[in-house]
Amino acid sequence: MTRDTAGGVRAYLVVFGALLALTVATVGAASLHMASARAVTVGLAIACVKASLVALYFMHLRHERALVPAMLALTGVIFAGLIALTLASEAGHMPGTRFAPAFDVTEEAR
Amino acid sequence: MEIPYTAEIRPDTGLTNPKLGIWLFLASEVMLFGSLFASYVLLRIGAPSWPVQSAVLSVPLATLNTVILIASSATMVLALAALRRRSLPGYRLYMGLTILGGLLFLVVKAVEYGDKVSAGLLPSTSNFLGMYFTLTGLHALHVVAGLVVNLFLWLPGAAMWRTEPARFAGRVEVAGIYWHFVDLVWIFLFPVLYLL
Repeated sequence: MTRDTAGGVRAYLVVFGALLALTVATVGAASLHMASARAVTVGLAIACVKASLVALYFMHLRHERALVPAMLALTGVIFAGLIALTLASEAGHMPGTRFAPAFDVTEEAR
Repeated sequence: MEIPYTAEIRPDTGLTNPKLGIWLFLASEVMLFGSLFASYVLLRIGAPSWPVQSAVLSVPLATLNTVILIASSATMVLALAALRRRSLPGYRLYMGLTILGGLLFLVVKAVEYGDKVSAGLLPSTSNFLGMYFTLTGLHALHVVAGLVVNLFLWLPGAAMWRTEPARFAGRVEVAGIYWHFVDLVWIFLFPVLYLL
């Protein structure tokens, strides 16, 4: 892990500044009213960069033994599978039609 | 019976047992929040219409909370750095600031919830608000849990520093890894719930 050197503390402060700047960038990007797909891509990309900075520097992942990144990689694969299966369950539907009734409810009621 | 490898590295894993334990726990936490994120995605892409989230929720309050949580994450890692320099007063200062940050986050969240409830916006109002209260409520519970641990390590738990400094620093490091994870989850909740 990062030790108690002045360099280590300076790195924490630099990362802190970067996280604040990226937070401003996130809000700024949202105020541009981009198209939905682009807004999601930009918003999540900035979030991923921020999360990486927190994990690598504050959680000291960059100095961690190989077992930890390997464990997290496996978690990432399972998480990606969870999201992929969720999206696959929606693949047969047009967006916004998931909850449309499959038959005429009023007709059925009669 | 003494718990082994609380401060020394375990040869086969290359880690102390508490550190291996916290990473395994966080892996399970990823799946807990992941399942809720997946539910959110499923509900949103399947909904005939979805509210403009930034019009329903308060972006300025959420931005303030993001800054508070990031700052408390920074002070948490500075608290550990102070311990590594063998400075207990430095540790107490930064850990105190971390706890203050966590409390401020909860106050802002309570203000936000109060605004929603007084406006008649409840979890039962819509799928979006149901997911908003579920995700942010679960996250706030994690902040509370982190605060309890940090408060212990700030006050009574710090007595261990005199007798077993390496073990105490290990405890602070593990509590810090958890606290940074709570920050990390919020980093995703902020754009997903408030901005996109």
